Amino acid sequence: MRRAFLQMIALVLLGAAVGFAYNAASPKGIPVKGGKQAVLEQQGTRMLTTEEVKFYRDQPGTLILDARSAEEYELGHVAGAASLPLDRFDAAYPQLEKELVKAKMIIIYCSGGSCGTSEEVAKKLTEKGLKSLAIDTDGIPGWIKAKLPIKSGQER
Amino acid sequence: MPAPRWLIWLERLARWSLAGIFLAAAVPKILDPAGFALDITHYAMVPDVLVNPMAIALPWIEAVGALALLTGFAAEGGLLLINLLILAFLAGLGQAWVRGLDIDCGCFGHSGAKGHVGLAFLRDIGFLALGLLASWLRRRRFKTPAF
Repeated sequence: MRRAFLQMIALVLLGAAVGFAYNAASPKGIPVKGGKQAVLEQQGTRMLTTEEVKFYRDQPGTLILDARSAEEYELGHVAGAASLPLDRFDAAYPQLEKELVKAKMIIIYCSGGSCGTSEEVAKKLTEKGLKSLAIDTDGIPGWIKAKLPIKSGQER
Repeated sequence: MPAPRWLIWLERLARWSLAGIFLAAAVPKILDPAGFALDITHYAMVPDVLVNPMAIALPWIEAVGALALLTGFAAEGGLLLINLLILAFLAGLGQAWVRGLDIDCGCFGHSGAKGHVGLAFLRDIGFLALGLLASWLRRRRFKTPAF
């Protein structure tokens, strides 16, 4: 048991050492510090709270995107937000392309902290060459909690 | 008295299967640490400060553990490590399942698609059974405590 435990410690230390060395040398390496925010910033995406989204929403050239499914969008979305569902990205993107290219800031949201949908949409938009992307980390629950305008149906 | 041939090969088969699973899990995460870091955050159980170091080190720890199982070098330590990793993954998946989180498991790399964490939990139960079987077979093969 003692031998197995010592071997395990050695394997963990070796794995971690190789991991950090590889990360430092790899072009795909991520920042060691800074958590999720640092990873997203490396991909050219900022993280915003509901309060910050509220501020940018009123600035000219800001476009808010709902990355959830079309059904979830219809049930209730941030007033003024356009629907760009991850599961229908390729079909929905061309309809919004002109607006997206013109936008000075694109804010994407989904269902809140644990949903990765907005991050995936941001990644796809980055691949399309779009910049000035941000993620509303509080998502729709933050919007509801702050009692900000919510709209239902297909219209923005 | 040496162990019978069937036991030797059964022990190897269990160990190599586990090694294959963990190498298949580690490589995509090594190639996309950013995706893996985001997957970790979706579990909402690791402090933000630990997310990136975990995304950097964990896939390599999995890979080194798998190589230990594949080569037989430090295999007892490798089995202990892999079994503890599976238990940790079960804890993460279990809490996500109970909380109803609709997330990408990230178990075999970042897919971007949402999968049912409950199914991943049940699959990991199977991996744990394989890990415990490999440990038991190794103990029988060498007549020493595997861990």
